[in-house]
Amino acid sequence: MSAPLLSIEGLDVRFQIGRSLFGKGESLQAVRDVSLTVEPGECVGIVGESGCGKSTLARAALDFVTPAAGRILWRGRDLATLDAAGRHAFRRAVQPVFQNPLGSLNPRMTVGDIIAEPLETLRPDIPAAERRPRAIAWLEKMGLTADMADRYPAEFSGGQAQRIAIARAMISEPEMLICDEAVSALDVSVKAQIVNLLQALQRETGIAIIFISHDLAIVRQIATRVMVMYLGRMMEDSATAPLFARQYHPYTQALLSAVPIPDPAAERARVPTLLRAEVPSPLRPPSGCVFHTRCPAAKPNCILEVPAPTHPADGRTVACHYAGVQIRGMQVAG
Amino acid sequence: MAMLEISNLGVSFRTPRGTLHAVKDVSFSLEPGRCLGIVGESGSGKSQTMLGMLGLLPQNGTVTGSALFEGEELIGAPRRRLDELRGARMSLVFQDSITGLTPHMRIGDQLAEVLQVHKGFSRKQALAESLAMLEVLRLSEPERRLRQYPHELSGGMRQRVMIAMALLCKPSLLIADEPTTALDVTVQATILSTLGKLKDHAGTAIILITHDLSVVAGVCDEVAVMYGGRIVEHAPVDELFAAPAHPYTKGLFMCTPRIDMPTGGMLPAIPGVPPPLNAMPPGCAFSPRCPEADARCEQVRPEARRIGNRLAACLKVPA
Repeated sequence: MSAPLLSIEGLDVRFQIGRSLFGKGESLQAVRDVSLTVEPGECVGIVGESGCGKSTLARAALDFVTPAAGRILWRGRDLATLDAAGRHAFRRAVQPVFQNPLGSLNPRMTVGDIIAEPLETLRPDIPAAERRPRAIAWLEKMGLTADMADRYPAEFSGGQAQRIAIARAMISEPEMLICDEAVSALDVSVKAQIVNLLQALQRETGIAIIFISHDLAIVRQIATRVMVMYLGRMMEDSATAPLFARQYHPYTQALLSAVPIPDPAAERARVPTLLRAEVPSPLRPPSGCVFHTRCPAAKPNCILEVPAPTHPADGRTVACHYAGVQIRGMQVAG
Repeated sequence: MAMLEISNLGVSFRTPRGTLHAVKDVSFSLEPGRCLGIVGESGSGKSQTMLGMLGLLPQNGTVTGSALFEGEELIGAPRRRLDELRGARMSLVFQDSITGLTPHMRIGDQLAEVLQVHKGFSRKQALAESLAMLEVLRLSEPERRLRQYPHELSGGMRQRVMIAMALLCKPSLLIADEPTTALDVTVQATILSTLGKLKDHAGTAIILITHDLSVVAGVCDEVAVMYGGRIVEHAPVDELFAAPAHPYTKGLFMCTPRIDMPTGGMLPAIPGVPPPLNAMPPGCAFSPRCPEADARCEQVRPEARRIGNRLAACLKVPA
C-alpha cells in the first residue's frame, strides 16, 4: 500500500509567549499529540472553537511552523529531512487559501500578475510567455472574465477576491489545498458559490483539501472526514456522515448541539448543551482530559489521566475515557 | 400603539462620487416583548437603518422619514435627547466588542458608569447591579471580571459584557447588530438563549440584525429580509420559513446548509453578487440575479404588497 498524501504523526507545536530580556516567558502548547492522515482526493474538515489549535495545525502542515515533537510526512517523506529539491516540490504541491482574500492579495499588482506570480518560482519548467495565458485560463475557470486580469484587487468584492486567491493557489497545479476559514468572511449567497467551486475543483482535479472552519454546517457540506479539536488536542475523528449521525465524544455532542438550525420548529425543539462558558487558558490547560472542566460526564479519572485514542466504531477515533456516553440533558452547573 | 413605528425611513450619504442611497423607504413596527430579525447580506442596508434611526450616522449621512419610539419622534430630535434615550430606554450591541469598550477602564467601572449616568445610582449600588447582570449572563468569576480590563477577556466574555451593559438600565428596546457573528457556536448558544429569556421575562423588544437565517429561526417572532437597501419580504417567522415568497428569500434558504440534514452534492447558490449602491438597477434590485425575473422586473420597481400576514416586494409573487 502506498503512503498517504499527508500524514501527521504525534504533532506537538509550542510557542514561547512573553519572552524578554528578563525571563523565558511561558510555553504555550498550541497543538498536542495530534495525528492525521489525508489521502489523495479527500476533503478533511477540521473544526473546533477559537484557540483549539486548528489554524496552528494548518500552519504546521504548510511547513510554516516547526513542530516541537512529532513528524509530518508528505508522501511518506519527513518534511524535516527533505533536501532543497524535495522542499521545493512540497511548496508546489501544498497551497494555502486564507480567510481574508483582500488582505492576502498584493494591492499594487494586477490580478493577472498576482495569479501568475507563483509560476515564476514554483514552476520554472513553464516558459514565461505561457504564464499570462495560464493565469487568464484560471481566472475564467473561477467564473471571472479575462478582462479582469488587468485590474487591481481593490476593485473586487470579497467573493471575487477569494476566487482570485483560489486561482493563485491552483495555478501551480498543487495536490493539496489548505483552506483556513476560506469562506467564513463571505456573505451567505457568495459562500455557497465558493464552496461549490471548491467541490467542483475537487471533482475535476482530484485535489485533496484540508478545510478548516468553525462553521459546522459548511463542513458537513464539503468534508468527507472531520476532525474535532479542543485546546490543542484531537477529540474525535470520523467520516462525515457517521459523525453527524452520532457523536461519541461529549465535546463533539456539545459543539454540534450548539449550532442553530434554519427552521423555527426544529429550533424550538433543539436543546443545546450549554457548556460552562469559558474555554480554559491554553497556557494552563487542565490536567488529564483537557475537556474535563466543562464536561457534563466527567468522572474523577478524567482529571487524572489523559484519555488514549480508542476506535469504538469503524474508521472512528475518539479520545475519551467514556467514548459513546450521551450527555443530552446533562447540564454542568455554573 | 406600537412601541416602535418606522415609516418610510431613508438613509443617504454624500460622497465625492455623488449621493448614495443606502436605505430606501423602510417601514415596520414593533410591539413590546417581540423580536424582529432583520436579515440581509453586507450592503443590504440593515445596519444603516438602525444607525439612521438612532442618529448615529457619520457627518455625511442624512436620514429621512419617521421613527416613533414610545410616541416620540427620533428623526430630527436634538442630539441631547437622543443621548438620554440611548443607553436608558433603547440600547445597542454591536458585533465588534473590543471597540465598544474603553480599553483603559476596568469592566466594573464601565458598567457602573451607565447606571450612575442614566439612573443616578451610587457607585456601590451600580457595581452590585453590574455584578448581578454578569451572573445572569453566565460569566464565570464575575467579581474578578469587574476588576479586569477589556483586553484580559476573551471575545465571548467581552460580548457578554457589552450585552450586560446594554441591559443594565432595563431598556424597552434592544438593538443587537450581528451580536454573535464573531463568536464560537457554544458562546452563541448562550447569548441567543439569554436574548430569548429577556424577551419572554422582561418584555424587552429586540431587533436582531444578522446575515444568518439559523440565528433568526430560534429567537425572532417576525423577520424582515433586506436587499439593496429595501425590505423585500416581511413575515411572521413560521410563515417565512415554511414558504418564503420572494425569490431572494427563497435563494437565501436554498444556499444555507443545515447541520441537521445530510447533503447531496452541490448547494444551490444564487449567481452573481449584490449590486453596488452606485449602480442600482432601475427596476427590482434583485432582478439581475433572479431566476424568475423577466423584462418588466428590470424596468419596474416592485412596491411592497400585503399578502395575508406578509409583505413582499416582487412582481412575481401572486396576490
